Amino acid sequence: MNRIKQFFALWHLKKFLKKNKKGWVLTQRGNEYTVEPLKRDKSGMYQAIGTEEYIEDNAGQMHNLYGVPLGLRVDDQRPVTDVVTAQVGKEVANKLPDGGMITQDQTFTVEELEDMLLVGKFQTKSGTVHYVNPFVHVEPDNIVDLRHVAKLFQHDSDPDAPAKVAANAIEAERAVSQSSYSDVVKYGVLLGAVILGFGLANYSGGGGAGGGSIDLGVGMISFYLGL
Amino acid sequence: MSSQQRVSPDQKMRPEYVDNLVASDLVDGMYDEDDLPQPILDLLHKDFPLANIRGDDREHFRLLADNIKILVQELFAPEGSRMTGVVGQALLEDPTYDGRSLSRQERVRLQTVLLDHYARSSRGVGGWQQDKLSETINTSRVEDTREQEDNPTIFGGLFQ
Repeated sequence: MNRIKQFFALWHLKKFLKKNKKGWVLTQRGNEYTVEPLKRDKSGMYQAIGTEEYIEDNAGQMHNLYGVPLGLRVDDQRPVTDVVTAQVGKEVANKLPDGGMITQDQTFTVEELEDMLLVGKFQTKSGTVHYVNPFVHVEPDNIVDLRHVAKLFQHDSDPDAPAKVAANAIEAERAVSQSSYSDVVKYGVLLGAVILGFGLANYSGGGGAGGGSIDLGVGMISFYLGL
Repeated sequence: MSSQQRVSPDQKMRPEYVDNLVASDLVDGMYDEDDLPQPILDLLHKDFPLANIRGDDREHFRLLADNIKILVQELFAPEGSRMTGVVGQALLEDPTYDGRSLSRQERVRLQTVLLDHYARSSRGVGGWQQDKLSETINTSRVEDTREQEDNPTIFGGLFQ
């Protein structure tokens, strides 16, 4: 790419990024990447525009590209990550999770130790001692699969969960409020039927057929109760 | 119903009787309580079937129970996370950390508990369960009175 093409490419990229100054997120969905514009809701959480997915940046891993916020994430988790954290996750995922019981005279090479996350458990008189290797070797300039970053998460975090919880809460309130509303309507109809019944009773009563007219009113009330 | 009526009234008044009526096989039989998170176990509490609720309240319960399931799932580490157990304690430098992941079986259990919660809450619609309890107690009281009439006293026998 010559300099002129590079200049125009960057100019287009900057123009593209500045279309949404709230920020962008590069999302890995399986083996595909998509670039999604972000917006912020009232609580300050990021939301991918056009989706119900919420995104968190509690660890401050949202970076800037030409002055516009840009983050990386996987589609089934909320936290924004970065390439170093994702690579640490990948290294941790590749380590042997449990070395099993080790004995006092057992020896390890440095390579063996590097390959293990939990080097092993050693039984002593005072209890079990666990040897953990918290060190990972991160290669620079590697292409990183972001999905492994979930190996470092303490909590599961479905991006759709906040929207679903909010929708459930709204629906739950609506279920109860509709019930209250229908009660009001029911009592209103009942009251109307009583008034109508007594009105008809009085009207008919003027004609001299009092007993029959009262029956008509009560009959209507029971009809509306049946609703 | 007839088997319930044969129980004496004082037995019916005992809390164990109510406990038996509202016991959940999910917790008492199929699953160990330790396997289920406490907020999920709370959904099987006897308060729900013993409540006096309307059909709409039940829908309210169902939706909020679904929220509880979602929030409970997020209390746990994602499947395959290494931030669990001793490794999690070491990496976080926190010996008190007790994070773990839910197994796939446990995730399914959460769903079955929600179904059970929904089924049990149906007993509370219109106070149905409470009505059944009071019906059985009233019926047995009538039966006890009859029993007393069937066993005449000395004076009663003289006039027969």
